[in-house]
Amino acid sequence: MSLAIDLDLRRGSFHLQVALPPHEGTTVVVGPNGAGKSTLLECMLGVQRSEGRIELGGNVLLASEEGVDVPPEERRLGYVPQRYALFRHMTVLRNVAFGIKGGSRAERDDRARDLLDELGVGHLARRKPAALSGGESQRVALARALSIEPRALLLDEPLAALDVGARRRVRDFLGSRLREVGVPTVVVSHDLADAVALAERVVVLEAGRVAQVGSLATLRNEPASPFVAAFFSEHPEPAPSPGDTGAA
Amino acid sequence: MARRRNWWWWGGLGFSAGTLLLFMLLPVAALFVTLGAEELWAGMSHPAVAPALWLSLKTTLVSLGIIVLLGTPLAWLLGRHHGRWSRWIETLVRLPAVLPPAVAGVALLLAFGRRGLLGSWLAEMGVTVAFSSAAVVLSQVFVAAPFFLQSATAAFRSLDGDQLTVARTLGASPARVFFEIGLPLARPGLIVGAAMGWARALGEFGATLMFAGNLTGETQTMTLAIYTTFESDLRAAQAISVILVVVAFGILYLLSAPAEQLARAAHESRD
Repeated sequence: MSLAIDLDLRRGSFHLQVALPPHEGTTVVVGPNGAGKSTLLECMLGVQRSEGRIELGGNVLLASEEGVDVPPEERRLGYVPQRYALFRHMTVLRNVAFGIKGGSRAERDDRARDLLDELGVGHLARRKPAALSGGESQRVALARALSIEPRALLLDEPLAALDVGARRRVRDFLGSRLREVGVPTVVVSHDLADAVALAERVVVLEAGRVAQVGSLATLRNEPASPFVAAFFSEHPEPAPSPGDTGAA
Repeated sequence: MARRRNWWWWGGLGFSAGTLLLFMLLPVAALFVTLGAEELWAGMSHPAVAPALWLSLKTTLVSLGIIVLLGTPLAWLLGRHHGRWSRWIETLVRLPAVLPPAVAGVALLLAFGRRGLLGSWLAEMGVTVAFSSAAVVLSQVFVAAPFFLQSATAAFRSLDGDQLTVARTLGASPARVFFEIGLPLARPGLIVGAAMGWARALGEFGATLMFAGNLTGETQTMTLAIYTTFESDLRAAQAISVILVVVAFGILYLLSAPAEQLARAAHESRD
């Protein structure tokens, strides 16, 4: 399955214009604050109205010229927002079972338990979100996003809310996890270091426009913007990581 | 040493705080200490008291039901959607809370009175609203709704939008998002609003007097009964007042729990 995006959105003086050719693996969208990264995710989710076209495998999610605009609840996109947004009045299990369709309640709960086990947080099933650490919350949020068997995953700043120690661990965990899940994934981050761990394709977004698209190697060797150049001059030899090997 | 140097600060603080506290406490205390148990009983058995109690209970509960049923959707719209007219609508729904009760009475008469905008049309169909129990309910809804709306709107507005978005992406329809995520998370704010609205409805006086009149058993609520018995039998007025003070204090005391819950919830969503 591949994800192709061609979006156009105007809000006051802000103009978001993003066209990305089809891609199957992980795309990391990086850019400074205010570049339009979260707005891009909202457009993809369908909670923000926009013009253009989004295609996922054979499914058209948005085709404004043909009047197609699939509502968010029918897009089947797994979404993990910045602060995870777990439903805090529900247990971890109910969070993950919320989106599971079909079968009896017991069957849906079993499915949710399996997902939590797969992500190594099965023991937290009866806790409330307030009692979880940042890393645990993120795994639960990921389990919840996977519960709908999503066609694609969208992650907004998955590492920003974590402290430095948890960050490295979660970054590695996410890197391997996303490859296993095997659906197109878009990760939004203000930190190119996340791209180093996660991305096969990096999209640099600045002021609503795509400043550069390419592998990490491309970005490092031919930075097309001061933002990219500044990052690689601060990190001259980034440690090789699993995410980097997929870069071409 | 330091304490003695700051005596003017602590002294001034204690004096001003104490003066106001005493001033606010004294009238309430007077209601209780000037009334013996026997007099309270005599006041309670005044023929105007029981019907007024019953009518107040009935009408305020109906009003509260109307306010919560119709007000919750409006508060959801105001809290979660921002349109061009939001600010106008929000100002409009707050208006009755700051309007003088006499204005509310005139306005209600002009709208629902026998010759009013809607009232004349209703009168042709044989329905008379003014000077009936229905008019009592309308007065209460008009003046109390803003209290519920303000608290409920604020509660819905302070919800974490990401939780609502995630729920949609998980396949939930807008209605399911409202019932399973929005409502439970905003519950403390809704409870506070409902209680404040009920207290306001119970205390409604001016608009009711002008629009509904003062008929025993039909439109004479507790506050109107106080007004009526005040001249003839002060003990009856005092007995009703005591009941209203106890109820008001009870509401505020019970509400301090949801208020704490609210503060905690706000804290959690920030973390």
